[in-house]
Amino acid sequence: MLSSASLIYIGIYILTLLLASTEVTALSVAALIGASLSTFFGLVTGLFMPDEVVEFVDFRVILLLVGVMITFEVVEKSGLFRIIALYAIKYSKGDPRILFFSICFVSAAVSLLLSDVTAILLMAAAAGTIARIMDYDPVPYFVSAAIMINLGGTSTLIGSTSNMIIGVASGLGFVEFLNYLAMCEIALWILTSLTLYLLYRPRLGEKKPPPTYDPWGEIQDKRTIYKASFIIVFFLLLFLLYEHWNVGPEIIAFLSAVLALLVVDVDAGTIFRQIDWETIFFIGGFFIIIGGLDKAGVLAYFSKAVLNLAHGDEFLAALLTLWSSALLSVFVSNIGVALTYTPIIGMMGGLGLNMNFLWSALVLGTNLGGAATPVSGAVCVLTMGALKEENVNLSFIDFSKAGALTTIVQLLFASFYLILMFGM
Amino acid sequence: MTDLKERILKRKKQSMERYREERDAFEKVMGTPKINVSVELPKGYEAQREEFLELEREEGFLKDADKALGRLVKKHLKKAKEQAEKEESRKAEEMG
Repeated sequence: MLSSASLIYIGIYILTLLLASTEVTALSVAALIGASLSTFFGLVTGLFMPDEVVEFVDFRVILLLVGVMITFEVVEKSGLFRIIALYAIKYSKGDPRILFFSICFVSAAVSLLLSDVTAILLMAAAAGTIARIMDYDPVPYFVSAAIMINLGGTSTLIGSTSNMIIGVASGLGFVEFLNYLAMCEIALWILTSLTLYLLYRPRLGEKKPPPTYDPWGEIQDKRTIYKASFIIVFFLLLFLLYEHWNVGPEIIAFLSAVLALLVVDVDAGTIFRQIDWETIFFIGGFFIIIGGLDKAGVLAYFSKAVLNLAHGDEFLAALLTLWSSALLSVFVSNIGVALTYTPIIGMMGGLGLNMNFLWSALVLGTNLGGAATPVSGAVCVLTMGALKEENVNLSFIDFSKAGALTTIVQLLFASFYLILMFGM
Repeated sequence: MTDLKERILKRKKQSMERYREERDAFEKVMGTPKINVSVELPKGYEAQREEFLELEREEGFLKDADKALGRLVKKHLKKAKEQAEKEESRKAEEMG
């Protein structure tokens, strides 16, 4: 049975999620309200001491996130990703099928490095411009870009904020992430883009002469592009090697950020202002809410409940984790879902279960649930907004047809992959 | 409730500004180049500040402005072309 303190903390948790998902307040403010209530009740009831509140926040996650954000904000400023998008469109040579797959794959690839919000603004702008010039229906291109951006980065430690949270909590390194999930992500890219193609094929438009332009000739500052490319290569190399040096990914991200600011000639103040502080404060506040839930015994209760439901079977526990975290991510922020599930999964350690199996299931679940409906995540909300800018009013149902279909296809494949990867 | 709606809309508006900037950057390379011209409220019309600002969204005004500016742009581009041609023929004469 849950104690009265547990029920209060569950109430605070639900209130925070409601405030955040209904957008009554900004995401960060919702988490900070929850954190304040959590701290107040914890201190008043003697559940924890003031010093412990600070310990609830895992600053390694914050440092990793800030480091990655600074590095890629600097790279994005160089215009490198815009050039990549321009080349992808140019080489489609006016063929809507090639253009469709180019936009799908470049969207997924770009989101490996950029934040999902930055990636969708870039790719929607690219797709919107070419759709207007070629007189194509923008919906297939916009919706597919959003779904592929949500998918991109599933197999890397730095591919999404939820992955960073899970990576730091589980201790899984950059290479381990790739070992367990890279094949799955590549297969999901192909499977998802083919599903979207079959769905949107009649709406892609006809082959027409494309606009002629020279992306390389348009670059005014080629030196900055070279520097940005060097930063990306160096950054990925460091992430591939850091496990041999006995340092955490957060240190590598921090060093990369400093190097990026040093090498590329950008105004550091501008970069700092453009960091996604909203997400950082959301995570900081949510860590405190999760700390309160932990102290009140709620997380241990749910950890046991998951194991009981799965009858102690790791296959069932993993599939339960995959589908339940994906389903929750459809309705609430997947960052919140990752922050909630990581301690619950962590508590299952030491029971003889294959923890990598469970962590991989959580990574897939939190990533794949984020594009099922137009309100499942910031990427989908911005896609709807960008379509409106192009004078297209896409209904909730129309987006969800593509979003829900691809989410189900992805989750079915992910279940099959997990069983194949860890069960054989 | 109105206040709440406004706050939500404001946050979305900020992201859409970034989207428009990004779209302009692509348009510059792939599409027809554009220039922006800003117009100040004429002297003597200060009392019609609100009406002036509304013109930015008024379809009839935008059509008229497009036509008038189109004529002006053509006139200036034609003039620039003629001047360049004159300059070229003058140089050719000087050369020989």
